[in-house]
Amino acid sequence: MRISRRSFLKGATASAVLAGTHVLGFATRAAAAPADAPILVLVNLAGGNDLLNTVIPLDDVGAPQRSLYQALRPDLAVPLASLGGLSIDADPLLGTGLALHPSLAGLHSLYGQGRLALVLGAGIAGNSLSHFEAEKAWFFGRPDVLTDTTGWIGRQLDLGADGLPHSVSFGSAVNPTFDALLADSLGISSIDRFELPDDPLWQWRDGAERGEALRAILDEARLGASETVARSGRLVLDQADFLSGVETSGWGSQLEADPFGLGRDLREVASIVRHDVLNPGAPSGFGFYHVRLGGFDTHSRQGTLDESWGQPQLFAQLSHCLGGFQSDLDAIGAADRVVTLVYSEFGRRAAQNSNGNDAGTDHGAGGALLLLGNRVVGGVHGAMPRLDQLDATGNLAVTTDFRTVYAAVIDDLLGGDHSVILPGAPFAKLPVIQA
Amino acid sequence: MPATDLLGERDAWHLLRRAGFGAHAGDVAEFAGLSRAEAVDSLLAVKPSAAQGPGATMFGTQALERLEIWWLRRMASPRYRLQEKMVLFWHDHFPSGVAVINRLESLAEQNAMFRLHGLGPFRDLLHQVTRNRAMLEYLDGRRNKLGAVNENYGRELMELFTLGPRDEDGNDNYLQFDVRGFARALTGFYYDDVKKPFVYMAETRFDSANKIVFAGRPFQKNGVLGVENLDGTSFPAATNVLDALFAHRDELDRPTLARFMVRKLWAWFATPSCDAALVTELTDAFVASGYVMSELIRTLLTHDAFYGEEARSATPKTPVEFVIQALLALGVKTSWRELPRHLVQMGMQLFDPPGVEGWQHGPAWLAASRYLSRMALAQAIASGRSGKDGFTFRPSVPEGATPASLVDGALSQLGLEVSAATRQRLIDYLSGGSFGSESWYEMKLRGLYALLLSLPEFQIH
Repeated sequence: MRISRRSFLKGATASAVLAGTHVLGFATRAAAAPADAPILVLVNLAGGNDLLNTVIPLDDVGAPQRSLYQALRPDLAVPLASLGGLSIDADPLLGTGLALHPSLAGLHSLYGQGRLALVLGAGIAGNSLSHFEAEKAWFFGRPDVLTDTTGWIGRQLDLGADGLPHSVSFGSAVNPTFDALLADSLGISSIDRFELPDDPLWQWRDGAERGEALRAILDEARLGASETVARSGRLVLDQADFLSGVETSGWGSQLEADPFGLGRDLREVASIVRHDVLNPGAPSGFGFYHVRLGGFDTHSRQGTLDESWGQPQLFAQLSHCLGGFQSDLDAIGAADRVVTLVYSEFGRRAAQNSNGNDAGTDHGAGGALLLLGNRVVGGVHGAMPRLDQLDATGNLAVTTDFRTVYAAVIDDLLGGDHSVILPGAPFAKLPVIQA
Repeated sequence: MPATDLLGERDAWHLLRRAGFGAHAGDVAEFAGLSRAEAVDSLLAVKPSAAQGPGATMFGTQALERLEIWWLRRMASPRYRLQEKMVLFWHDHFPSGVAVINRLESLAEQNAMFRLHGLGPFRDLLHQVTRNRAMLEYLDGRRNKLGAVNENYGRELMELFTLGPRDEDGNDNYLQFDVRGFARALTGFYYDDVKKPFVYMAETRFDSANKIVFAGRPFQKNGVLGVENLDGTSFPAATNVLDALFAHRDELDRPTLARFMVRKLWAWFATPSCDAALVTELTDAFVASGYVMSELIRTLLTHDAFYGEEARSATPKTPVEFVIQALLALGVKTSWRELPRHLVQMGMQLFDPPGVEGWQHGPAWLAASRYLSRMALAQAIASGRSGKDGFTFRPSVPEGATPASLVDGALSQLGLEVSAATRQRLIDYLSGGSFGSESWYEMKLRGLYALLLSLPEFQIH
């Protein structure tokens, strides 16, 4: 009964064309998003991903990293025997041997292809160990997070605001990274669900008239709180029509079998990118995506190797999804345009907090940031925090201010100027993006 | 009594939407004309209740939906509206959910605890939460023990539940040292699912050494507030550590916990921003009452500021408020069966808050997917002719009705105020097509209600 639900939205869109105001004309979209425009995909590992079991010290070269790792984590340390074939370049500062967690094997092969950049000790100094303060710093791109402000990408979008949305957050609410003064942003749970169900009133052919009426009312709302809501309503009507034309399955995605979660979200991102490649005259206009994988707040039952629970389970999922996404981009022919940035609000405490399977780690500081794509400078960046130099709370130092990565992304990927986006600029850019 | 103290119809709508989950116009009429104090007294005239919804020992979607529906029905009952509004507040403030907890029974038990203590002294509630099975699982309290201190609950207790990380000027309210001290003082609470499925203090797991918290803060006369656990065997040990939260004062020597809770309650009942003088006024009343929630709520709901323009028509409704307000105002009969699914799509699955911070309120409720889901639910409710999709709604058509009178009638049925331009669009919609011919008549009217429930004005209150 597709016709039924279409009629309401068709009505809503047709009247917008007549009104000539909020129209997402295809010509406008195309001008706003040239076919070679860069695309940034942000992946948030929510809860605070543990650095020390993501990138694991193999020896004591330069500092007693391996010995202390085992001493601090008798139940959580990944044994050397499980790390064969997973080594990466040595720590740039100390020369310590390093390896990726076994459940990140898929990422290790991207590393071997030079398409994975690992930034070690990433974070921001003075982190209060609060999830919410720490993630605000990452979202907003600034350490002073007392009041809510715009997101670092939101500010970039505001500079070129043209009345069209250019960012999509999966997980239904808009991620604060995209919060902006002017630029609208789309928050969706899934493209497949972004549709009105069959209209029970369809047999009266009322849908189009009702859609027209709602469209007109939303267009006329100009004051107060209801205007803010009306803006969201216009976005709904505009995008529902567009998104229903995006094929989200059946095109050979490596993530075809992922019915929900990160895999589904990344497949839908790839589906929009694919749509844009196939329809250069009528692209989506989207250049920024945010997806999320939760569960990294491993205060207990963090796990070591068993992929049926804890952090290894999350890693296996992450590795599968990011690997599949990168393969999809290769197949689509968009891999040269897309950079994926994987971040988490903080790393975790160096020492385990309990024993046996209960063992977990409390909130920490220095963490891991990952960048994937053909445009990244593969390898190890930053430096592993020294385990013989923990801070007063037993945490890993922040060796790399994440704003040095943001600066590189803004300048070298997006062609912007980080000094107008990031308070406290200029930052010495970390060379993670091929200029 | 000043004339302004009497509730007008508009005030009554406002009160019943905020202090409950909306109302039928007849209900509104009963409240209009009462003084604020009379109205709020009648809302507060509800006995603490230990009513507990159906739980199960193992998680299952159907069991979860049964529990959700049990709660939704209570929310929609006029008698319990304020009590349930506070149960929902506490579920959001002290979240626990199925993402971590398999045992639905624990969540039903926690929900009942909020019902029993939610309007009483905050100190009692905090004790209950601290020894609550669901919370001990959700934030790892039962794994927090001597020699294996787990900071999860200790940190969130201060950051999210009582103090906030900073005062209004940005000064830290506590340091990592304090988080450790709290976590150690809270060791020892334990239960297991099989042998001892009730919370007790396990002596061998308790860290009985004295702890020092909030050291060196200005409010500490002798420099330290020791959290002393004299025998280390009983709940009173934790009494001391929770008292430290009530004793905490900010850099301007104001009671931190009371101000924090006042701001949160004001945001829940009125609007996110709260004038500093109003915070102080409400805080004074709250402290003077001995931190009794019903007294804070009484002061808040009878205050001039609550009836001011800033406190109304500016806050996005939560999905639960959106749907129950629609059902009550329109007198819709429902099997409730479909509501859990709709709530998921609108972004608010009960017993599954997104994280320890609870739900994100404000504009986030109206992100594109969620607003679209509200439009879908509006359509389902308005078109419910025979209960087929879970709803039965019968719009009434008075003798001699015109499109204009029908629109005005529907607006007042929902207590909605819209612009003249919007009203005209609605009239035009209703007059369009073949209005007047019998078979189209009902369809158009149902379409009108679908539109009304989709309007920006119905998404906020």
